[in-house]
Amino acid sequence: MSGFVQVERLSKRFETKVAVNDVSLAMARGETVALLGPSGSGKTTMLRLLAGFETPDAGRIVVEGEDVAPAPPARRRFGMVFQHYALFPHLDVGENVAFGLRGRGKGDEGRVQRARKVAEVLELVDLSGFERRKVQDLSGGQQQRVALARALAPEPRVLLLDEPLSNLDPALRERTRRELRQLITRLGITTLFVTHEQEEAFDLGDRIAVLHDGSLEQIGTAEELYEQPATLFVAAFVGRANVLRSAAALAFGGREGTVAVVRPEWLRFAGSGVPGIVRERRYTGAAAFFTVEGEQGERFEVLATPGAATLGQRVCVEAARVITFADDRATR
Amino acid sequence: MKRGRWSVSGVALTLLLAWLVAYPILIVAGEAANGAAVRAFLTRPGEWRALWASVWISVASVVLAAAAGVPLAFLFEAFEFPGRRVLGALVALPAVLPPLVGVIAFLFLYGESGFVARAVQSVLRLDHAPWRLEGAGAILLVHAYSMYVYFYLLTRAGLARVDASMLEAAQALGAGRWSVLRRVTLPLVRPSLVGAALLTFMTALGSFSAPYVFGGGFRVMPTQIIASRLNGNGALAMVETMALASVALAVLLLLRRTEGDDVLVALGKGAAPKRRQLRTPAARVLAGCAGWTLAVVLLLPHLTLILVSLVPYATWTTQALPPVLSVVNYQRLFGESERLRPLLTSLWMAGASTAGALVLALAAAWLVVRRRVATRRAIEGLLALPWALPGTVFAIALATTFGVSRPLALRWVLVGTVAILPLAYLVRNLPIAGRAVLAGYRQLDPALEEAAASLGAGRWATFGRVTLPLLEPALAAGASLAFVTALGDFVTSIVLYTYDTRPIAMEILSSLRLNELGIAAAFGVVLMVASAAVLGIGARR
Repeated sequence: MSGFVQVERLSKRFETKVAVNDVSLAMARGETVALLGPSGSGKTTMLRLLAGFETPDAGRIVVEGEDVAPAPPARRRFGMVFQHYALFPHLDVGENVAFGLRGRGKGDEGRVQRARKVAEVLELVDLSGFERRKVQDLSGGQQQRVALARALAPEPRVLLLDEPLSNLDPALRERTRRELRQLITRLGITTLFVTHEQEEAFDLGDRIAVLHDGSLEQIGTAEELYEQPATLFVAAFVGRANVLRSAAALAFGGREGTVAVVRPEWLRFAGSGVPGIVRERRYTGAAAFFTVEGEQGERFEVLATPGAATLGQRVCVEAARVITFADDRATR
Repeated sequence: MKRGRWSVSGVALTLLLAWLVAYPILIVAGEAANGAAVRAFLTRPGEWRALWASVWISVASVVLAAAAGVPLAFLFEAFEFPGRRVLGALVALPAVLPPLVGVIAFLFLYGESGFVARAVQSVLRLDHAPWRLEGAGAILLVHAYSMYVYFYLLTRAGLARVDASMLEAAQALGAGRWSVLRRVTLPLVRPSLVGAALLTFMTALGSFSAPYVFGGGFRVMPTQIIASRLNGNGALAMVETMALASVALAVLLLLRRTEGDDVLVALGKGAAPKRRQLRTPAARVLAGCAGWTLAVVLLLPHLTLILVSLVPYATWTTQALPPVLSVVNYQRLFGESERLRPLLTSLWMAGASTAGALVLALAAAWLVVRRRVATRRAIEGLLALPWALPGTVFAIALATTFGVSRPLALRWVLVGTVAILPLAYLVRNLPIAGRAVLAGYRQLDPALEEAAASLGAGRWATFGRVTLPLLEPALAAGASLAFVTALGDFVTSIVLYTYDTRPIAMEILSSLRLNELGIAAAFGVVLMVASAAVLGIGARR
């Protein structure tokens, strides 16, 4: 398949550590892809390679059929929103947004054009009339929107977002996420963003690429990652999961030498099954998580109705579904 | 520690700095390895006396400067009283007097025929001046006056950075006021105190103007070096220069080791402690009176200088106060081309050396902070080295290195040309410019430059539109300090000047020798005003 953006076998190492290891992925025009992974998984390096702030040791980055890997950041026409926004403190909001609009005609005509474009993108992020405000005087959410407007003003081919919501307080984060999703959908711009928050990735990404130790574990829709994880890492990292080995795995129907992954909602209390004692109960409203300790001391979480069991109760647990993976620990 | 990358520009800048800063010192070291001269140095008691005098004068200067500066800093940071802000700024004003200007102001004020001596003489009806301003005491008086500012400013800055919540935490743990001061506040400002002590020691060790004018028979190493050189004993001067350089480097290493971590202070990000209001009217009046008295005492040298600059030649003989005042000295200074020339010479040389130092500092900061070149440690060390060595050392080193023509050894004759003084000022200003620009660059978020690049700005456009504007405060601070230092320089000038390129300080000295005190004072006032103006502009950014 040939996408609008095509990353081919990209690798980058720092000193002795491999930050990005042979990653390939393709993005269709207008698609939004989330790079999800724990810290140190290489997702920020991936983004910086695409932006051009790092040079890859191997691999190609093809946009519209052209390899941009040798091009400096300034010539890639990628817009980027930085984690801490990187707004220029010596320029006001309007000047920040106009920064990338140099070379659009000289003199008065150019100035008018630039001012019109600035007003247009500021309206897009709901900050009309903020041109002459100082960036230091804006709230965190407003700064984030100025950073977005600044990245969008030169009409980039691809929008890159580095942890776009991590600097906002939780209450604001959800609203901003919704606005961001609407904006990206409305503009139809091809977007790649980095996050370590699964909820953010699920909500914003058409597809999600899960990175681990520099390697791409799986790329797919949220449902695919959750229901059909390709690797044990994805199964454990995406969503809640009980990871069971050896006897416990066998008890839930795994085979010898496999790891069994069971999501809490796939487990239920029943008349027969794996026996255990309820050690903890976490009430979440509509349901409760019960931590059950099995006979070998293994612990697993069961999602059930709040009244399904009580602390200390002996229960039997049955699995509606189990996914198994080859146990990489056993084979090593 | 990460390995850096090797780049042509990194190596080129390292070599250039090494040639400017380290090479001349090595040349002097080579010339000092001269059996006869070393023997002469080791056997003459006068040499040891001068070396010892340099050390103890410097230690005593640190003690006196700390005794005056630290309490003042606490007073102005911890208490709120009427006039605190204005007084707090006035207290730092000795800083606008270049070394030689401060010295002549003291001469006019407290010297044998100065205002204070005349006043005492006329009140007590003595036939002689009541004292002579000479020897170690006089030198220490000038040092304490001009160098307490380091302790005052650095301690105030340190105190302002102390996190109030740390003091509150100590109080909540049961510590009383003195206990908090001793166990929390002082350890937290220790880096500032050590920094001020180091700065004062180095300045006092390299101080030349005060010993030169007030020393009389009392010699310190810098005056001893110049004396040897003027007596034609160049080889001995080299040995003396190396001895002085060794003392400076030894002390630097010693104090660096005891210097605390700035991390201590950086941990807290809270607000500075609130100043305590002086409540009772008596305390407020007392503090106000004491403050203004202090300010007057500290400003007396400035006022004296202005007053003397208004005294026409040979109109003031035995009277307690000058009988005639006029602006004739200033008219001569600006009207006679021979007098105006040193002024213009100093201005352009200070400007050129400052610009050069800033360009080198910018290149160094970019290579060290952004490119992280393999030689970044060497670059930083070379930038800082001239700070650790007294001005006399560099003056002698440059005079030696660039006094002969050996192109193959990268030595050309620059002594006697227009180039040598700006070059010397540039080398001496590298630490000031380097420190300011490096600090500024380190505080610059690399994401800002990346943001510019992602918005289509190339390397030079990013530099011009983002880096330079954001570095402007650091550049202004570094440039103003460097410019003022070069403008008022005396110690390198006396070794390297020629008649055609004589700077203001040399003109002040020759006016003094011709007993044209008014002219000397007028030059001093011009220097003082220019310094104050430039420093004021630099600080405003």
